[in-house]
Parts: sequence; structure tokens; C-alpha cells
Amino acid sequence: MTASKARPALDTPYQSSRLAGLLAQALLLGLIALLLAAIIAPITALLLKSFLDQQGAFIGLGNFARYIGEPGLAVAIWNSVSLSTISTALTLAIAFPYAFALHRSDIPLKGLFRVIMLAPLLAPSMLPAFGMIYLFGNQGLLKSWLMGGTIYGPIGIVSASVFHALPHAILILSAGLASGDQRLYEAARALKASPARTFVQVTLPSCHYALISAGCVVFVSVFTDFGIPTVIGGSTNVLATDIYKQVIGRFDFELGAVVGVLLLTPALIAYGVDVLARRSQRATFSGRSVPVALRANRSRDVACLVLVTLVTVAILGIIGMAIYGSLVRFWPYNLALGMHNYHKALSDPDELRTLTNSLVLATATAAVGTCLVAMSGWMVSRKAFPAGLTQALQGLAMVPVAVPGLVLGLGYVFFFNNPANPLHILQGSMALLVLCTIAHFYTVPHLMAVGGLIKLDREVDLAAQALRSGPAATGRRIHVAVLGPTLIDIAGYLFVNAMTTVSALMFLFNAQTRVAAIAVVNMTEGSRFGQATALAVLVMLICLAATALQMALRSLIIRRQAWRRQER
Amino acid sequence: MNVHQSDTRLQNGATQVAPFLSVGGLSKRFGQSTVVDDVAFEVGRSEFVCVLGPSGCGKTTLLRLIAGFERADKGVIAMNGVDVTTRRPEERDFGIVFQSYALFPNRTVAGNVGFGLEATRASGAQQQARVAELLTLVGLTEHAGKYPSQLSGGQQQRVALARALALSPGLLLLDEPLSALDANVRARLRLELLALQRRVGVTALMVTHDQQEALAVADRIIVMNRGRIVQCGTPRQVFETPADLFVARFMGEMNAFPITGVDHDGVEAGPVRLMLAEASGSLPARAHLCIRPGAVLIGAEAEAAPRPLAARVRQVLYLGDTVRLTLQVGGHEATPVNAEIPSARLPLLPSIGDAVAVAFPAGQVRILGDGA
Repeated sequence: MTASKARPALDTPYQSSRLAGLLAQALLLGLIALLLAAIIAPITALLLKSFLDQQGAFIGLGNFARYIGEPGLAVAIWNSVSLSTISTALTLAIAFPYAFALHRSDIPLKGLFRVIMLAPLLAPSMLPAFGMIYLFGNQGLLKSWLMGGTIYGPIGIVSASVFHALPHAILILSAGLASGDQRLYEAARALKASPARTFVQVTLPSCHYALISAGCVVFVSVFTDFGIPTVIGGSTNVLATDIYKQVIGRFDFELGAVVGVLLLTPALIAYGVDVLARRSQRATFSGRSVPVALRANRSRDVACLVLVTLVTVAILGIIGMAIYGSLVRFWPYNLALGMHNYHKALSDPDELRTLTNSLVLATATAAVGTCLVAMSGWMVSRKAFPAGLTQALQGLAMVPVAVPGLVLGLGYVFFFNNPANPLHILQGSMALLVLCTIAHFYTVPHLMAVGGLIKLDREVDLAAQALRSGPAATGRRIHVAVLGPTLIDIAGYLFVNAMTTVSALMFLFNAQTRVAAIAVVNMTEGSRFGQATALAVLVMLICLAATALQMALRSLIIRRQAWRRQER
Repeated sequence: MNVHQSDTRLQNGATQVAPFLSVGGLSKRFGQSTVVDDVAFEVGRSEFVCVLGPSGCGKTTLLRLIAGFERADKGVIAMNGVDVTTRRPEERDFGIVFQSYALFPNRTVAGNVGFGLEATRASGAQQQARVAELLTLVGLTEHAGKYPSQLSGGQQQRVALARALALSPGLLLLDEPLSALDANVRARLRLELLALQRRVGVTALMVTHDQQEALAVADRIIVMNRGRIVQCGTPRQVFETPADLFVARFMGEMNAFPITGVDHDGVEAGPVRLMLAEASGSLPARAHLCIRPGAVLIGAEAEAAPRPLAARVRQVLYLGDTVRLTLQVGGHEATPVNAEIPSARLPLLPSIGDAVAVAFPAGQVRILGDGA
């Protein structure tokens, strides 16, 4: 064997990895610069704008003072805060038992319930609102249920918001409830704790971070949502619709910026609360934790099944109603079913273009966004770069989650429409919409990419380096394979969100680049209700198809990657 | 050739073979703490050297400095006569095996072993032949198509070893390679590791905190504590003539008594007394008189020794191969003595309270500073 020392044919050529290292550093810096331009710069432009007057002079809090003097402001703020709070409370009250039923009870058909629960994610936020209008609106089927009240207003906003936010809350709470420690429950049993006491003392504390996180996410999402209050809010004014009034209605950009800052505040507070809560969360799930084993409990299972069925029926009912409404020729006068609304939507070249624009936007966002996120996730998780730079990258990637879409969109207007900005040429282009959408949804995919790679020991990279494989080569040979299914999930996430988003694009589109979700909002303002619903349903169908494709690709990849299966 | 090198080759702890690796004045600080402090040693060609020490002593950092994953603040690292101190890891001639195996999860055993070969100028057939050769060497030929998740810990470690040897490196670095394995697998695998190293003839430097492991496989042991080298020598030297109390206690059980009195006759520490003629050299700071439990004589052997003492049994622990007795020598009840006797010599275990003779052979008593 000692002869193996002299084998010229196996000599590894000395590879200069310095050039590759420099290129990689340049890529990192480029990515940081891109995120700065796409996220920080627009927000800064908006913040600055709120302190400037129309001529660009600094006037301190002058705009804020002017806004406070506006009539109806107090009402708008009060409406936003109260409606968001009520929606959050209701959402959590439904989401927690639902997540509990999925993870801590023994009901049948869990897979089916989970899939249906996710359905609202695949539709623009206005779709549940349409369903509710068909059911409870002025010509609604079940209008009598409201006993004289109207769906247009607080009731509609809260109901539709709860519907829209439910999947997000359930997902977050599921993450908290899925990881429990059986040993705690056994200890509680040994100490003869009653089921109620066990719930309060063991189950609730173990997911208090998930509860706080879900609460923050839902509150901010409802507070800053634009689509639902526009469609079903009636005369109830909230901050989100107010920003639109100021900017589009009155071209008062400075006041619009002020409202943007106001919308930013709860998001920043929620982000701070989230960070604090995470820090105080003790590690309840360690490597030694034992997964929770369910005890047989018939009454618990029956109660859970009833709840889950009710929620599922409600979801299917609302969405089904919306679909039904879209098939009706002219509600409520001509209830004949037909594809009339769909034909009108697709034959009108302007409307058809909105659909193709949506597809272009969603596909480009998914394609470009996945590449960017894969790079930033890779750079952050592999620790192959100077710590300061990767921390900056991670920090930048986390910012979008605290910025509401409306605020970001308005910031883009101020930053990219400014003639002094060399990037001004992007104004009104699809490229700008793509950039804004990628920036808007950057955080979660980035975290998914980091999460997908962080499980791989750093020592794997070191072993590869000792075998003369530099960071780029190792990335190509090892990391991409490990990250495969996650990349598919990221692409699906970006596609669906780009198809259904309204808020960020509200100020950026023009006649050429208008997307379907925005067309839906426009059409409800013009009372082409059936067509709006049809378009929203079409968007949902596209998202369904995309999700099906995502699942198919995912299982294909996992099947080809035989190494993922644990066999001993 | 004996697996265990005899003492004739390496008497004074320094290698007499041409060094492959030589390290001088190596230092590394992380923030305020000096993790590696002025470390210097040599490893001879085809030698198997273990760096031994408790957690936090700097041994893993030392290994990473030699590999190039960390940059030294001060000092020189030379491999095969070439100064590699400023070279990146891929420019140094070594292979490395990690405690966590660090196998590539998406590649088969053959794919892992052949990873480093893929960038070479070797043809596909040559690469395959080399991979087959290595798999035969570690005994994993029939597992060539399996993935790491399908292998046991011991098998994964062997794949890591074969992978590290694929490019025929001049130096094999091992970072606690056996720590993650069960005790019985560990005992078996370390002898396989040693046999492999002898067959291939590669220079090996292994980091471990397990003194049994180091004693079993090393030609020389480098004991580290708090970033510094405390002793460097053969396993026998380090065990039987430790440099200080820290090394003595780290290598195994040790009775240690602080010196209480020095007079014209000799040195006294607890129940142990050493005559001046038997003691040599000056006393180190905070000196102790020390003797291994295995060297303490009891019963008939003690009575035959020069200065037997009377003692009472305070505790009896049956440990399988040996029996550990805790004894209190008359007049020194505050400083009990541990004695370890092979079970075969005690067909009848003594009871607590029994009177027994005990003696401390002068040749086995060491004077050691406490190494603080």
C-alpha cells in the first residue's frame, strides 16, 4: 500500500481558488447591494418623503400635523386598530383548536382537512369577501341571517379577514403544537394533574411563542390589508384604504407617506414583540425530547372533529358560493348558470392581458426569486464568508417581513419614479413589479433556504475543502441536491403569492402591466361583480394548478433522491 | 513488528525519524483567551501521535490550525520540510476525519470515497480502481452502493477514513473520530484504525480525550492542558512517569498526598514516606507524593516489603477484573489510600473494618507538582 504514495496520475492539480473566492465575495456584495436597492432604499424614500413638503424642503413633522388635522383620521385609526384586534382574537380562537385537532387528537382524514384549510391561501384575499357578499350581501342568499345588519362594513371586514388569515395562523400554531415533549405529559400524569390543568400548565406554555407569533402576523396582515376593506368595507374607512385615497385619489404624496409610516408602526412593534418572545422562549424541544403520543380520548376527538368539520364546511361554503356566484349570469336577476362571466373576462383583451401579466409576474418572481433566495440562503447558512457581511445579508433578508405591501409599494413609487434616480428607467415596467414582489416576499423563502441547508454540518464543507473542492464546486455537487425539494417549495410559495398579491402593486402598475388581482379590485369598484369573481376564481385555479405541479415535482425529486430515505 | 512500539525507539519523547510535520511556537487567541499557547512538537514519518487532553484544552483548535481551517496568530507549521503556515487548506497535503463523519449525504459510499478523485487528471477507470482498492482496505466493498443514512456509525467512520486517504495524503488528521461511537465499537475500531495506519504507512495525528484510546494506539502521546503542551512521550512514559499531577490524574487513577514534612531523613506526605536516598532532584512547587493504586502492595506482599504499615479497610468495590480497596493507614485517617488488586489474587474479598498490611514501594512513588 505504501506504493500508493507515488501515483502521478492521481495528483490533484493545484487549483487556484483565490479567483473563485473573490468572485464569490463579489456575488455576496452584489446581492447585498441589490437588497439594499430593492428594500431599504424605497422604505427610506418613503420615510424621507413624510418629512418633506411638495417642494422637497424639510418640514419636520409638518405633514404629520396636517394629517392629524384631517377629518375622519381618528375614525380610520380606531377602525383599523379595533377591527384588527377583533379579527386577531377570532382567528386565534378558531386556529388554535384547529391546529390542536390536527396534531393532538385522533380524528380521521387529517390530510384532507389540512389541504382544504390551506385553500384560502391560493386565492386573492378578495375571494372570501365575494363569497360572503353573495351569501350575506344586499341581494345575498342568506341575508336574513344578519337580522337587519349589513355585511358591508365591520362585520364583512372581520369575517373576510378571519377567513383570509386562518391558514397563516393555523400553520404557525401547527409548528408550535407539532413539536411537543411526551415526557412532560407523562410527568404531569404521574403527578395526577387533571386534563384541564395539564392543558394550561403543559400544552399552552409549550406553544406560547407560536401564539404570540401567530397573533402578530395576523394583526399586521389585517391592519395593512387593502383588498378586503375595499371590496366589503362599505363606508368603513381604515388606514389601508386611506393611503390609497391620499395618493391615488388626491395625489397628496406627502400625506400618503405619512399614512405609510403609520402603517409601518404596528409591523415594527409586532416584529419587536416577536423578537423578544423568541428570546424568552426556552428551548422546549431538545434532541432528547420524545414525540407526543396521543392518549385515547373519545370526547376530545369528537369535539375536535365537530370543530374541524364546521370550519371546513364554512371554508368550502364560502369559496363554493363565490364559484357559484361567478357562474351565475346576472345576480340576482338571472340565475341561469353559464360561463358568461368567464367569457367576458377572457374575451376582453384588456382583461386577458391582466391574466397573462399575472402569469408573467408570478413565473418571473418564482424563477428569479428562487435563484436569489437560494444564493442568500446558501451564503448565510454555510458560513464561508466574513461574518459581518453575512450578518448584513441576513438582516436585510429579514426586513421585508416587517414591511406591509402598501408601504413597500408606495416607497417604490417615491424611489423609482424620482427623475434624479438612474434606476428611473424601470418605472412602470414589469421588471419593477417583479423586483417589488420578490422584495415583498423575500423573508420566508430565504428562511426556508437557510433551514434547508443549516442541518448540513459545517464539517461537510471542511471535508470537501480538504478534498480540494472549493465553495462553488461543493455547492454544485452537494448543497444543490440537499436543497432540491426546498427550492421547489420556495418557487411554489413565490408563484402563489405573486399571483394573489394586491397591496404592493397597487401603486406601481400602469395600463400595460396591470395584473389580475388588481383588475379584480378595480372591477368591484365599477360593480362588474360577476366578472370580478370569475377573474378571482381563475386566479385561484391557476394557483391550484401551480401547487399541484409543485407537489408533483417535489415527490418526483424525492423519489429520485434515494438517499433521503432512512433505512438501516 | 509489535503493534506497540518498544521503548528503544523513542526514549526521550523526541522522534528519531525524519519529521513529516513540525510545529513551532504556535499560538492562537480567540478574543481574550489564548486557546493554543506556544505549542511546539514534531511528528515523524509514519508515526501515530495522539494529542490528548480534557475538553477545552485547545487540541481541536491545534488540529484545525494544522489543517489550515484556522489561521495561527504566531508560529510555524511545516509539512515535509515545506513551510505551510500561510497556505490555505486545499494547498496542504492532508486528509481529515471528523467526529461527525461529515459524509456527503447525497452520494453513495463509492461516491464519497471517490469525491476527491473526481477533480484529478485520473481516468474514470483509474478512479474506480482506486475506490475499489480503498473500500477493500476498510472492508466495505459490499456496501459500495449504499448511502450514508443506511450505514451504522462504525461503517460511516470507515467511509470517512477511506475518503480521507483517497488522495494519498502525507498526513492524516483525526478529530476525535471514535467519540460518537458505542464503547465496544470504539474499542474494536481503534485497533482497526491502528492496523490501517500501519499498512498504509501514513503519518497520523489524532486528537482525543480518551486516555485508553491514546494508550492503545499511539506511538507517542502529547498531553495538553489549557493550550499548552504538558508532556510528550511514549504511552509508558506518560503513564508511569507523568510530568505532573495533572497528567498523572488524566491518565488514570492516582493517589496523591500533599507533602506535609521535609526533614533530614526524607519527605513525608500523609501515610507515605520517601527516604532522601530514594528521592532525587529538588521539590517542585506544591509537590505531592503519588503512587498508582495498582502499585500499592497489600497483605503478604506488603509484609515482605521494607516498611509495611497497618491499615483498615474502609470500602470494597468489586470492578470485575480488579477490586478497588479504600484503606485508612493508622494515624493518617484523613488521607485514605486507594489500592487496586487483580480479582484473581483475592478469592476472598476483605470486609469493611478488616485489618490489612499496606506498603508503598519506593520505586513506584513519584514526586509531582500539581501542574497548576
